[in-house]
Amino acid sequence: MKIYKKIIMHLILALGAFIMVLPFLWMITTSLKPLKLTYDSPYIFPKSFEFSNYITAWKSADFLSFYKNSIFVSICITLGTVVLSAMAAYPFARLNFTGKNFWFYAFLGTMMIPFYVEVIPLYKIIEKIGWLDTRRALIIPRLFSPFGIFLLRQYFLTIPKELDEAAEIDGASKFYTFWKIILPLSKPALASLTIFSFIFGWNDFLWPLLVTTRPEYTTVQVGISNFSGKYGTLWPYLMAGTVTSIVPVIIIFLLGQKQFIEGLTVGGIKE
Amino acid sequence: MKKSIKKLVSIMVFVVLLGSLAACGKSEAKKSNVPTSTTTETETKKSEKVVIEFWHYWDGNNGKAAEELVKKFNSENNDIEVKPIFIPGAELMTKLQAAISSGTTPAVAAADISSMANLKASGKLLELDNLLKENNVSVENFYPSLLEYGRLNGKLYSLPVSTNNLALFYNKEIFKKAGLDPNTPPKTWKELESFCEKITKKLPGTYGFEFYTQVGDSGEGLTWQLQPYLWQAGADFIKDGKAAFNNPEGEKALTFLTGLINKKLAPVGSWDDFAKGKCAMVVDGSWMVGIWKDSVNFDFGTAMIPVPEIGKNATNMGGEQIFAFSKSDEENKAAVKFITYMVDTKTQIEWDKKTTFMPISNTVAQDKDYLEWVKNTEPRLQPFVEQQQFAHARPSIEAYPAASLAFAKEIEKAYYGKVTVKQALANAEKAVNAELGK
Amino acid sequence: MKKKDNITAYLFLMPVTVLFLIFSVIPIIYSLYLSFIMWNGFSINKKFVGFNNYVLLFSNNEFYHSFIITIVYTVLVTTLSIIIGMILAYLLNKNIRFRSLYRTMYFIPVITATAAAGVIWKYMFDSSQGIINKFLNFIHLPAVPWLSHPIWVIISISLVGVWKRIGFNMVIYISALQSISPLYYEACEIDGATKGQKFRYITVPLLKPTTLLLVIMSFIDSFQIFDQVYVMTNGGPMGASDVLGLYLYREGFKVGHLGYGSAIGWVIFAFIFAATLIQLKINRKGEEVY
Repeated sequence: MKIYKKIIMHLILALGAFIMVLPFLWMITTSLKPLKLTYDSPYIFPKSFEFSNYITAWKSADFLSFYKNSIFVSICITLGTVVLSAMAAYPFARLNFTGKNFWFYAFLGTMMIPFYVEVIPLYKIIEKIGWLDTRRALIIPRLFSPFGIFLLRQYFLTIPKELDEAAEIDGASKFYTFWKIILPLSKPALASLTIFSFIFGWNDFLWPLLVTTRPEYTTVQVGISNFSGKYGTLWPYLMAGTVTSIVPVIIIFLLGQKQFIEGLTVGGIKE
Repeated sequence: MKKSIKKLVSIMVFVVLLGSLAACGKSEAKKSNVPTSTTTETETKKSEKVVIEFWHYWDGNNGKAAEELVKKFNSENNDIEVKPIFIPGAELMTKLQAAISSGTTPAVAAADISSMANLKASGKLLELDNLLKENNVSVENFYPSLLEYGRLNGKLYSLPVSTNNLALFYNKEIFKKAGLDPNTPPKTWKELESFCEKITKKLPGTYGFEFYTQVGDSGEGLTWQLQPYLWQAGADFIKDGKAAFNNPEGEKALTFLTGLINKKLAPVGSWDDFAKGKCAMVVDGSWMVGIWKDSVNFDFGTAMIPVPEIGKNATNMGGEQIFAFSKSDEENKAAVKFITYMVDTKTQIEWDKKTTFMPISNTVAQDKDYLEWVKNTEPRLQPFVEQQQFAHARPSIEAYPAASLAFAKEIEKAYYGKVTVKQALANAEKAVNAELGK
Repeated sequence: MKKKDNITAYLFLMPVTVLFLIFSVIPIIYSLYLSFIMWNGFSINKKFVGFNNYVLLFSNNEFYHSFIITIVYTVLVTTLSIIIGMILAYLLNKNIRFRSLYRTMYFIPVITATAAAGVIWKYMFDSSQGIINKFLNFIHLPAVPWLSHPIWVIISISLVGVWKRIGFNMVIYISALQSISPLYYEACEIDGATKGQKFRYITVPLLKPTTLLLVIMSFIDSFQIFDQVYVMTNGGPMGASDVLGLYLYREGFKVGHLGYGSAIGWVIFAFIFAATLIQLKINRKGEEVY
């Protein structure tokens, strides 16, 4: 009875899991198909291995630039967001100052405002200050993260106050307590924000689509979308391009999966 | 605004990581000026080369051909480097407009003929007449109907760089399987329909004929595919500044197409079934000869678009124009040199062979080498060449793109059977006239 | 003890505040201003039109159409991804074989960029070459016009949305499940409850705060869908997948109706805001009933 139930459960789970990864499997299979067989009846597991599709895809679009940009932009957004959010979260959690509530709710309030409200003026501002087609335009407007500030503040509040009070009695400055006591104790929350910011930066689409045109400044996501316009009917090439845009993230994810999911749940629950 | 950014940056500096980030951002900014700046001092100091950008939307096979031509130009001209930049067709006009309003235009670009009216109206295009003369380009060679797209108030702002028209493609293998002669494509609308019936009866799951039924975000795909039938039946799209399709002739054309959908001879809402071997016939542009010859695994033939019993031959003239944006003298010179190269007969013959686009000038059309090539290597281009005399030009007016979108939105409803043909045409007439009156 | 640290605090806050003002406050005020004028972005002609952009918006069928489509998408994605996510979390919270492998497989779509996923799914859904229709064909079911039929297209797009969200919901639910004290279940077992009953009467109610959080997050997120539609259908066929984000993009950036586009942005905001409040309120009422 129990074994019978277990088997059914595994069947359901395995079938579901298969459906979840089927798109990836099929993407890889298609990317290895010879062009001539594009319109032949499809198959799930690779039969032929036309690795030259990858070379063709890479040659026909500037994937190297897209990659460099995506990596650079995502890392900068991540570092910037984590550092700035931690700095802003600290006074909200620990210091007593005029206008504390005002600023806190002002920041939180913008969390409720969807990007669509700001996107048109933000684009106009970027255009005015001549930042179209720069990496700055992709990074700097994205560094203010009310979510990050809120997340870290909540976490800082869970750290016993006695710890930094003791340090202050010993004569430590606020900056010292922030740097040497609060931050080291907040590693899980910092990790989770790091992951959030990186995914956000890597997957962002509308903003780079709007502010970048030239391949030197465009990210992988926009590059793939453009590439699908360019080789829309040549599925093997398109899929080869898509594989190369996804695989790095999947590898990074598989390597750091444990920290990744831990961080995510910290983020979700602490809210 | 700049000041506060500087302040921001200086505050950030004490955070080591961010400090380095800002530095990266700054050095980035300098680099970005190279291709776009209008002040050339920094550029020329850096290198002897004038670097200019060339924006285009040619994809797939055509994109490859364009990039090859650019590469050749670069190797022949040591003082100029052209950087080709692909932008998807749906985005090109948006990006060009953004570039115009932010002053970051490329030096050269190629756009669809239907966008030219708006581009000329921007006032940012470089006037070509004198510069072309300096480069010994005789404008008279180009077909006048194509040159028309580049003219505004007697001045020339663009040159044709490619042209094409629509003709019928048919899958010879499906024809054989359906018991039809693979060497006799349909010549009339009636024949087309009866062929379709035979094919769908013999081969369930296969469609007879397909045409573009989706609005997308410009509507132009649908409009440009429908226009030939309007002209064939004796109607027009826009005439004397007004919609000219809400009449018995227009009704005849649209009824023919919706009839094919209603009888399930043609699919609605999908496209590309021909290439998948799921549809026997399609009307598409000459460049598809070049694309399909390498990517489909069946033999296909081409023919002129079938005509109604009472009616005349017609097809739609498509193509792109190449133009330059007014920048520094140096860039302008380089731009015109590149344009001259692109429209040159020799380049054009190579271009037409690679892309299976149509000749833009008499010199190409009468070139022995080219004609020989069509005859021996790509006879499937013959119907397109023959059809060129029946090609109609879409009106070169600023309101055209908006009118086309409005038209397509109404007609799509008829394709989906949501409204009758009469209603659709009446609604479309209203919508098109509203756009023209704006 | 009540000593104020104004200087230190503001030094810490300075960088974020500057960014906040430049890239959040100014755009928001500017956007509100834009929504009251008619402007094409470059002409010097800016006309103050009061609420006219909003009036135009609410008298435009295209807008209602987009609005309804976006809601249908949002509701479908939110409901399905939460139900499936909860069931998966329940199954995968047990100590079974291959647990972490399953979790990984269910989670991978979450980290995949929507634009890239859209490209793949576009091919999956292809009416004649797509693997899905091939499979239907194989089990003798008729082909489905996934992306070329006005009703199917919403379902297809939603399926992609669900596919991308399940893993996230699952992970959050798993961590919530782990914080449920086993005492509850033990008490139940004494009463002789079946597994189904335990799930229904203990797990689901105890997960309620998490569910509320996930519903709100999913709602806010899904309502702003753009990437996958842009890549997969660009709004077609017949505007059947023309979600609000796409509508705003077209009006604001392609047609150049900056005022009108900003007005769409504010309507999106108003709706998300109202919906969140309503969800919180319903939840509160539900708690009172308990």
